Amino acid sequence: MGRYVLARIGVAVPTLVLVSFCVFLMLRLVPGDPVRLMFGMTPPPESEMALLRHELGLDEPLLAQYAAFLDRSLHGDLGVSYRSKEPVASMIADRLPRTLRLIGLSLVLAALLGLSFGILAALHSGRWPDLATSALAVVGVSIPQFWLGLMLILLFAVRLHWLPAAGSATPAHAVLPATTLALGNAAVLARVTRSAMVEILGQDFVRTAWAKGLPPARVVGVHVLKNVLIPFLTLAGLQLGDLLSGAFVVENVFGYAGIGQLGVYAMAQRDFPVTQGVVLLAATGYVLVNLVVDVLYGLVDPRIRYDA
Amino acid sequence: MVKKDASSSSPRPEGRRRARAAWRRRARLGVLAAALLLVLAACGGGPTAQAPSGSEAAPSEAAPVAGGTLTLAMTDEPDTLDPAHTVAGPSEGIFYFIYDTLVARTADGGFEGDLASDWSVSDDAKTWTFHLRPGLVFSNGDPLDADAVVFTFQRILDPATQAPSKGFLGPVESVEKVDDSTVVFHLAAPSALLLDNLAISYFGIVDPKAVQAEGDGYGRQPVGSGPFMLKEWATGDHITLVPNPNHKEFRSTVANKGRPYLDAVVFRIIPQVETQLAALESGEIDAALSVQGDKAELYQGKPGFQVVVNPASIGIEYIFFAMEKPASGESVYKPPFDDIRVRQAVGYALDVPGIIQAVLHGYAVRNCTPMPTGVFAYDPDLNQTYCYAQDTAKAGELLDAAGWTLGADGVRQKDGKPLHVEFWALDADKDVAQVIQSQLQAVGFQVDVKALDVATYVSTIGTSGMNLGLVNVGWSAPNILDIMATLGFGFGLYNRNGLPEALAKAGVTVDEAARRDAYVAAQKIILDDAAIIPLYSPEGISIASDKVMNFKFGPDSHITLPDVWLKR
Amino acid sequence: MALVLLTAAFAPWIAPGDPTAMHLAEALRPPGPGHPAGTDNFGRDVFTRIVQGTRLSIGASLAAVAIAGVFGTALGLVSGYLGGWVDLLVQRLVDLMLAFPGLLLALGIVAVLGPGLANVMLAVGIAGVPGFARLVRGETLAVRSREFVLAAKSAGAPAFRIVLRHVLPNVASRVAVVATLALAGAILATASLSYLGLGAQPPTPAWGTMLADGQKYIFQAWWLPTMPGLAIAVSVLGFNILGDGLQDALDPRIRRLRATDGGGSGERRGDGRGRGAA
Repeated sequence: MGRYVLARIGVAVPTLVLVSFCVFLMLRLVPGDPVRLMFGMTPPPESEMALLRHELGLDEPLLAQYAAFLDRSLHGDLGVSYRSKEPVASMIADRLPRTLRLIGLSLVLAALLGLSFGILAALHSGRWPDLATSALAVVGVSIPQFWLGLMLILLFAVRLHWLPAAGSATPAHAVLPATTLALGNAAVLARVTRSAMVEILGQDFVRTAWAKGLPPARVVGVHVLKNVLIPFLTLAGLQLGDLLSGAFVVENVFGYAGIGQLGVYAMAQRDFPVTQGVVLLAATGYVLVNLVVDVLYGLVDPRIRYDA
Repeated sequence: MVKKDASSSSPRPEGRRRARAAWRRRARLGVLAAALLLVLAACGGGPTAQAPSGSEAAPSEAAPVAGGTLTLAMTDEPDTLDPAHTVAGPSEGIFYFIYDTLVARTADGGFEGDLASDWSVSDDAKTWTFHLRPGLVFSNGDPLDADAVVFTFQRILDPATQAPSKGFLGPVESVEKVDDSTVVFHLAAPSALLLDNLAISYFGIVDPKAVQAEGDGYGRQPVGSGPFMLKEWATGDHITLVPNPNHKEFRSTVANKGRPYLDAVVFRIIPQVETQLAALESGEIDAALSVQGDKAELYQGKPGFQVVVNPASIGIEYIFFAMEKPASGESVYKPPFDDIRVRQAVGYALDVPGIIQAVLHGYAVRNCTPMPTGVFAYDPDLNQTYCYAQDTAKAGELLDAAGWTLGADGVRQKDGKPLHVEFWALDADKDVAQVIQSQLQAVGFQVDVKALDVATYVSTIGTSGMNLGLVNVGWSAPNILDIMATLGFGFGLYNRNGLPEALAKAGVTVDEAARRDAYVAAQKIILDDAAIIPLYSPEGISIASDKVMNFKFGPDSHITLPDVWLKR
Repeated sequence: MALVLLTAAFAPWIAPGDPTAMHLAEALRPPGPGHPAGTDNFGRDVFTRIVQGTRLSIGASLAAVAIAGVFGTALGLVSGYLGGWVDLLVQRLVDLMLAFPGLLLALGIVAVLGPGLANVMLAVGIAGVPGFARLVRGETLAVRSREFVLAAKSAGAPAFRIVLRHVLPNVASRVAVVATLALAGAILATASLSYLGLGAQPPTPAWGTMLADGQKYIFQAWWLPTMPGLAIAVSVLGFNILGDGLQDALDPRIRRLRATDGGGSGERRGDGRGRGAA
């Protein structure tokens, strides 16, 4: 097992280095000169902008720039924002807890909703609760998050005054964006839970449990859930990546000061160090989650190790 | 020497409309400003102190009540509060309240002393002397003297600072201390625009001790002498300002000479305007600073809210044509717009009042000149003489005469080639661009619209297949023409018919009447050649709760926060 | 589903108007006689735009999913069947692409290529490749060790032939199922990219762009964002039903497989890319 984990980590590191290179390259290919954008309407003579490009190291060969960036990153220095002159690491550290709170809450919500609706549907397979859940799930995955977000704001903030419309100051501010983020994933989780449940409900050991006259709550709670939980958890873990993607949109809708808002803003301004930092962070998060998931898989199903 | 003092700033006939804010300037020149200003670019300019129209709350006769926190929504977060390190609009929106400048704009468009009690200028307009008021201090009690002024400007002039605002100082070579209350600006060339620039809060005076103590951290720990000071900056969420106990108010445009009525002002950062309005309705914020016309229409007459609009504008939205500038000699138009008749046909094809009504919901002023309606040397006569009223028949005739004949598919052709043009616009201008597209197609153009983000637009426009472009430039001084003519693409390459010389002459003409004539002459050069098709000057709009009293915009199109108070 | 496809096929007959024709005087009319789905801020008929945009939106999503499906399947087959260093290489590539959040990847690609429906679809397609690759690899691994493949192998059939003849048909049904689900994600991805300012160019009546542009008017013209949203929901529903149907009809084995081995995560990833990009 230990060797398997080590091997996975060994693979994750070069992946991250490659990710960093791709991000770096992509940003340089995107049209838009960060120095030109830094000056408002009256750009100084080209010579002055060239000087600034030199100061920022933008005039060096691409590979040299990348090497310098990699070297600094490995020492924990993600550089300094072109715009605010603040260290990227501290800009990210400021916002990361909020995004983690958002994603964590959303994951919990998605899991709760997904499990309950999935179980409900499976227990009433083919009847109206099942159909209704399917319909809800479809609605869940087909609503764009920016639209859903505005609707939730209108309902819970403007009409009912239960929750704040925008901002990120308190945990209450995370509720609406987390819900927005969660619904699509809850729909997917509900579908998966349902299908796994239906299958397991049909298996012998469950039939036996029913036959023994065990109360339904116990059958579902002990026998079925235990078997559904593994694929479910795996899936929920994998959705972290999606949630991070979603955070880019949702944080903008709710004015939620997290990593996603920072990323979109930095990209628009071509603030390369900040954008790189944000993407790298997202990629690291994704790789870490995958690592954990793969290790879990390896624990549950030894066959996987040979495949990987 | 021309002696001026604080109280006798020169009145200008249309000057009151001229004063506008730097952050809007940035915003309006969406093109060159940071992309974060897209939304602002779409929103148009900001209101001024004069007569907000519409359902704005009646000017209250009630006595102001002190106390309370005003919460405002802004679209983008400032990148830093160090004026030497940014020209971004949102930052300037805060600078204005925490820093004071040497001179300030008056309501009638002139200048008055703010930190400077008075100033004088040498006959050659190359040496400017400013006398500081006595006893000035920063919010932390540090003295604000000639040393602080010299430090502020030398820091910006120092290439090592990499101050993006350096360019605004133009020919300023150095700033020198004469005595504790006197500083001299030495210019390499005469400038008629120094005061315009010094009044911008990019040139707010900073506390040298704080800058030296905080180093790179100063941008988040700013110290100025403005009516408010920074209390808290919660990254990405809000910025809180509180009254500065050491501030002294000298500006004639601020009625409240004492402490601001508000206990605190919170600027919430909410990127999406729809969310801002939801927050306004739920009572989380008291005002959305900058919104579009369709929202204003929605809130006109809505109980509990006020819409504050400024009819004057420092912005100009115009259509330009692709040009090329050879290494030497005159720049040339690229086909098919190398024929003036085709350029004029664009003017006649468009129903601009219709666009203003439909897309901007009436919140813009038709302007057929390159000079924004609120800027010095805007000429109503030119606006009459050179206006294109929509006349599709005339557009057709011009195109026929230029050899572009109508094909069976409704697209004009010449020598077998269709009249196809690629039309570039900022994403924020997408709606206007679509109407223009449809109106141009009605007279036989075939138009592809490209709606792009600011960064892509600026960086790729010069090298692309663009034939036609839409852009929005904003600036409070008449050198907006220089800015437009040097943008680096389209009309920004224009050097025909003696325009550069005409503009250079206007820029050094200190005498006001002569300067006005020089700028009018330059505008005529542009319009005679149909070098651009000016469309309109957009108006700025804010929406606030009706609890907010005295919610009005000052001469720099920032809310005069010291005068604002909250109804209980 | 049939409704959507029929609409796509007969759009010009159902709503014969010009989807880009502006009537500024009739802007923002609520749904009613003459304009069953209301008009937009240019007075364009929303119903006409949705109907005529069907072909475009569905077509573009098909193209995106085709890109993702074809390249992803090819990569997955090669990687799963050959194994060894090829597998390692492909898997690292897939890891690499998966490590970017889907929307971010698409965002970056569109930023490089420039906005426009074609580029958006290319970006969404590329972002979907790793999901399919992973899914197909898992399936291939499972099929590789089955008797008929082993038999063909021992009979000396070339690898290329075995993959095409024996492996691909067994994998295809799963790919088809996931593809139908990914179609929905692709439509939503356009909407999100449009929302972030990188969508189809005006006046193209792409649903995603209509939705993103319409949300500005959510306060005064609910039908503007809602109608294209409904069109998307109906299509997604259609694709989902189609997907479920395919799943049941084509390969009952799938459900067993998914519950018992890593194939489950593959399916989720395929599905997840679509959603992730949305």
